[in-house]
Amino acid sequence: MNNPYIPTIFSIRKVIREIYNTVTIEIEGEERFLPGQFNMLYVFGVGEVPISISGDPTKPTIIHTIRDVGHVTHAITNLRKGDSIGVRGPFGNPWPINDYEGYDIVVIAGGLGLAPLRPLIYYLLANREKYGRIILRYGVKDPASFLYKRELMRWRGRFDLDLEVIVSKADERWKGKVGIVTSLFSTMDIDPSYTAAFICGPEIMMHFSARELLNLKIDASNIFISMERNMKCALGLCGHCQFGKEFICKDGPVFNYKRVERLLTIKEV
Amino acid sequence: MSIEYNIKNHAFFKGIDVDISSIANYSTLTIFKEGEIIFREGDKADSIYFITHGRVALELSTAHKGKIIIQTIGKDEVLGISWLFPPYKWHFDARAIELTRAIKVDANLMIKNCEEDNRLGYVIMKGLASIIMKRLQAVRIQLLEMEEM
Repeated sequence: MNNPYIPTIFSIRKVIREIYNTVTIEIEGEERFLPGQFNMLYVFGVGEVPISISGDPTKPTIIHTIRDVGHVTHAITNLRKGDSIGVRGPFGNPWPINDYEGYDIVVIAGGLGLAPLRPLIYYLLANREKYGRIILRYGVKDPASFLYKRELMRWRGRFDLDLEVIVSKADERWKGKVGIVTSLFSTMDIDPSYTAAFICGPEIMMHFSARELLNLKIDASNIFISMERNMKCALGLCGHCQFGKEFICKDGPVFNYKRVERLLTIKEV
Repeated sequence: MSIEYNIKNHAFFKGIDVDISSIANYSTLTIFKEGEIIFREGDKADSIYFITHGRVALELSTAHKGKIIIQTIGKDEVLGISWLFPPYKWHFDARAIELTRAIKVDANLMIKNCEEDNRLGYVIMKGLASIIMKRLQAVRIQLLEMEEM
């Protein structure tokens, strides 16, 4: 990365529609990144947004999963194969997975939160022998809202990954669990003194998940969450993503829960 | 396995330090086939089910969307607490979504037993209050999450 303000222009190699308002795009070009980092994606004439990298960190690809929630993301989700996109990055602190070799790893995702966690899961599976149990708990709004369905099925078929999913509501055709993601914690077989947890999803879900993990005696210093704010420069200069004394783009997006626990309960921070 | 064994090993009763052997006198072990209706909304609520295997869906019928599953209850969880309060009727339908085994307890006899044995009554009501509190919290979180997901 030479000038961090100038995006590199790539073309879109592949677009996968995950669910009705969410796509995964594979961008031509190569990038080395760490699980949990993000890129700034630029649609010319529209604007720029921070998007977590959702690809495999063991391969030099640029893959993002984007939900259509605003002006720029709407434009991105409507891009087609061959269209141009600007990329700046990668930015931000990664999930500190190397600090937890030998530990049981709990990954908790809510909705689109699986996207920034997917590189972590790829990494864990590529380095399976270095970790104890790997537990993934994933909650979504309804059965039509699962991201990466094929991959979930594959992961579910593995004997070395404990995966459970849950939806908040369903019709009678659904055979799985209905409720909130924390209701899946009772089936986790972990040694709390050797467990690290990585959480991403709506802030309310992360907050309650972390609290429930604390009840299971997992130390707050071993719980990590990925925060989201309105990042603009991605370099910790503009202040758009300020979160208390932290800048999400520079000090995050991955934070130790102990460091930000208090901030999560303060209005308008 | 005996009813006593099943009761003692259900998560609800684990760690309870009062004599629970009397519960077996008014309990039966039941099996529900996949798709079987356990109870229906509006029917008289007179049983409590301690699930030992499988999963049950609590469903609500709606005019526009048909049946909606609002919660599933599985192994080591408790199904049915409407017998605790008036009008003593089930608020939802309960359907086994897979083969389900449960300890079915006669709620009226359990209340009677709890009134006669206050120590037992206290721990059972405390356990049920904890379930009600957790479900209330879950619904609150569910509502907030639904807005954000």
